[in-house]
Amino acid sequence: MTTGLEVRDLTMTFSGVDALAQVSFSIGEGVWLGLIGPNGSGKSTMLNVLSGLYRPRAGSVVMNGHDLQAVRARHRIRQGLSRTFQHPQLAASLTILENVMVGAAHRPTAEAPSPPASDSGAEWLRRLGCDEYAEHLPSEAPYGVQKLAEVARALMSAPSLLLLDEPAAGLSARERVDLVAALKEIRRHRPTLTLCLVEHDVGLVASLCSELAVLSAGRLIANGPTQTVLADEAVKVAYLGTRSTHDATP
Amino acid sequence: MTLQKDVETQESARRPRRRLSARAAASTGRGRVPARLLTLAVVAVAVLAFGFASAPSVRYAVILSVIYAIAILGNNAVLGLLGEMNLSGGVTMALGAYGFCWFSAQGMNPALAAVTAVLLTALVSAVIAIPTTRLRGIFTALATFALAYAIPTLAIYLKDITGGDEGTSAPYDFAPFGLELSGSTWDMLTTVVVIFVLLGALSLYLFNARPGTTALVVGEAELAGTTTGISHRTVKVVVWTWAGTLGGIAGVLYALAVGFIGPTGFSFMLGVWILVGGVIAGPRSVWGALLGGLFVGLLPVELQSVVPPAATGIIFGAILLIALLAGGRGLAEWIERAAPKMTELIRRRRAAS
Amino acid sequence: MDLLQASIVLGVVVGIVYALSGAGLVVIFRTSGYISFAQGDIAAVGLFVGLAAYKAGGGYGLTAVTVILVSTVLGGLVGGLITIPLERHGHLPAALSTIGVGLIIGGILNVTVGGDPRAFPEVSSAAAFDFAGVRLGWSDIVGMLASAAIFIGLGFFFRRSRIGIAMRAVNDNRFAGQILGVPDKRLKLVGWIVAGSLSGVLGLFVAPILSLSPVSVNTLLVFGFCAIVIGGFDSIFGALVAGVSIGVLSNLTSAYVDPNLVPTVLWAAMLLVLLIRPNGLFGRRRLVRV
Ligand SMILES: Nc1ncnc2c1ncn2[C@@H]1O[C@H](COP(=O)(O)OP(=O)(O)OP(=O)(O)O)[C@@H](O)[C@H]1O
Ligand SMILES: [Mg+2]
Repeated sequence: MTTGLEVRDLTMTFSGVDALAQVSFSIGEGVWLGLIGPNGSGKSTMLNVLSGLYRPRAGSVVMNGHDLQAVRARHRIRQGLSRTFQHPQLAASLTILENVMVGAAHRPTAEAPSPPASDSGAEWLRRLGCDEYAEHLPSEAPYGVQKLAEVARALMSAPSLLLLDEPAAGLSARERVDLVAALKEIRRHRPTLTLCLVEHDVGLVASLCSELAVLSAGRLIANGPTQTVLADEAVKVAYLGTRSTHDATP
Repeated sequence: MTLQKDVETQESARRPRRRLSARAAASTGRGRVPARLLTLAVVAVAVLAFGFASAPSVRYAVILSVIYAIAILGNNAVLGLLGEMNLSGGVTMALGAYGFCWFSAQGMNPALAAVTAVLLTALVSAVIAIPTTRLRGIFTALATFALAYAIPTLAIYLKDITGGDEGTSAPYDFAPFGLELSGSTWDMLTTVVVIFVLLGALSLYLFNARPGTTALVVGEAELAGTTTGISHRTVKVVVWTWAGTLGGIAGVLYALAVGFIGPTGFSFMLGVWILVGGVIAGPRSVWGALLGGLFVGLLPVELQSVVPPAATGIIFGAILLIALLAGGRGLAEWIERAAPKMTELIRRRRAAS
Repeated sequence: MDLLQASIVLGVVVGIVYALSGAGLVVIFRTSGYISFAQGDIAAVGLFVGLAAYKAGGGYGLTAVTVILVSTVLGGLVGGLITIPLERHGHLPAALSTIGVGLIIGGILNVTVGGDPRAFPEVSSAAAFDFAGVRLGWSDIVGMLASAAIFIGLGFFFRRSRIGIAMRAVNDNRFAGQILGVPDKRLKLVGWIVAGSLSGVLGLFVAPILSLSPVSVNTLLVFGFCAIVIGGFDSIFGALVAGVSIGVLSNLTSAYVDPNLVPTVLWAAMLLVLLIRPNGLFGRRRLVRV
């Protein structure tokens, strides 16, 4: 039985256009992988397929030896899979803290540990540096706080595989530091956590992830240790060549 | 003064605030359960007092208003939590009313018939909700409109059960605990108001507890609900069933109050009024449901002396548009927001003078 | 046998009218993303004005033009002044506002012309020819031809014209209009205007059959709702197929079971389709973008 995540020949098509074309890669247990690529290259689509919101046209997703094909999106959290959204999906009438607590409703059945005090929603918000907004509605909180609340909610289920979709987009420099510090602390506490991090900020990705996978127009053009991939010519042309435009986004 | 403030900030830094800010409570309709319960009780007592003091014809309109308010309260869960449009409020009332009359006509004890009718309505609502909620958001309106439209003719078709065009009568000797439940009696008024208050308090509790939170996640962030393990289908069916159950209760009470029911009482407009009453008064407010019921049941009666009955639609349409232009959160919320400001203003005036 | 043939042939004839009712709703749905409940009332105003023109001595042609013109203008006014501005609060308030508009128009008509049903002129009461043993009148033929022409026209409009293509995209993508240099609001307004004139045309076919009262055209709304749910929301072609099927189904129900069961059967058919194909027979499977 392989642990971690294995993606094989994944293909996803939107009205005839391949958003993902036969993508294969794997993430070993406890490995943190950065998934990068230009806008529209299929990164979010990949997370949507992995989390079961989209049904792929072909290919398979195997997590800790279980084929996820037959597992509905809402049951994947019990397999230990948890994710955030690129555009925050928070209930507008619930406070930030209440939104975070929504993630605690379904802890994975396998471990089902009683939540240690340090794993409470308020505690995560504090570590991510946004506890002052705990009792605010999402609309009253800055965009960065909404994105961090997404991360906190995803962490509440004590996942074994965490998918983050551009968690740092829209964050201030200070919030980015908090985010990186919090993620590093998570790694210290839970060395077995597997992470798939979608992010445009290559510096942030490189500081957290030991491996990279690069998508371009739905194809996997590079995959391997971070330094090797960053030195790859094809990656430079496809992605880093356009890097300046991404850095422009605050 | 400054010292006190410092102590306060220290205090709040140590122990995070547990309560919603006033603005958040007003705009979401959540939190402050005791205050809301109190408002509900005060408004209910006012309605009772008004009903007792009025002539029987007006009291009758008040009774019907409170009955509509029960249906509105249920419908508001669908509208206010899920953001879906339900035009079948009148359908569930018809089910409850016809079921109650039929079961009692079969010789069932009226109390048992009432309970059975409500349970039947809940069951049917659940079954219908399964395909209906496959339509997304406001498009549930289409299926429920078609159903609401079908009910009067269906009632005629099923004449063995419903009495067809002629209609059917409610058990007239139903007097549980010695209460005289029919027409415009004081007992009837007290009963419907008490039932409304109980259901209102229950709604308030559920809305602010786990079921309400879960329904809000489904209504406002469905995808996040899915990825955190919530079945939006199940949640929607449950909320629609809750609405149907309250509609069924309203239907039984309607049959008792009116005494005789026929297909014309359940035209598709009834469902429209139940929806509109909720929108005007505010779908997240419990006492607002009572206000909405009075809009639907009492306002036309009161308006009759001013405008011809045919023109009440104009007034309602205009009120609805104004409520929507004001942001769609309803009159109740508007009053809730305005009231503290008004008292504040009055307090300052007093202090100044 | 005769009854069966008549049910089917006349079902197709009336079904095309139902489809037209659905098409008007599809046009609004495509541009704005919700449904209008006021289309029947908008048509009713046009019809009453048209009837006045007819009584004043105008011929059928003038009457028809008046009806369509008034509904077109009214549709545009309702959309442009009330409903589209309300979209800033969301789709739900916008859709609810059409109920408010319907109530107001219905109330005004009740007060001004009263609720009694009146006869409305038709193109011609002469019989045209027999088809499969069923006698078809000229008004049926004209109705079918006009509807067919409208469907072909709408198809071309949405597929070929610049505005039509932009209208298809505007609900999915806010920037569709900007790319084509047309403001979004104007695209939506075009949707409401087109839907207004469609409801006027629809009224012309319905009023002679059901007779004219403030609520009679509203009756057709329910058929239109069924047509778009069964056909799939964004498909004009789906509305056509579903409309015709509904026409035949309701005629067969009416002939062989009981006319009182027709609305219930339509509703049940709608739920059945939703269970089997949640996006309707010809609707696209929609994936929420995240
Ligand atoms: N629900 C959908 N329907 C149709 N096309 C879609 C859908 N979701 C994504 N696409 C298309 O698939 C392609 C990949 O999109 P995706 O959102 O995965 O890109 P991305 O790598 O996440 O880009 P970004 O960095 O901008 O977030 C794009 O061309 C997009 O238009
Ligand atoms: Mg993306």
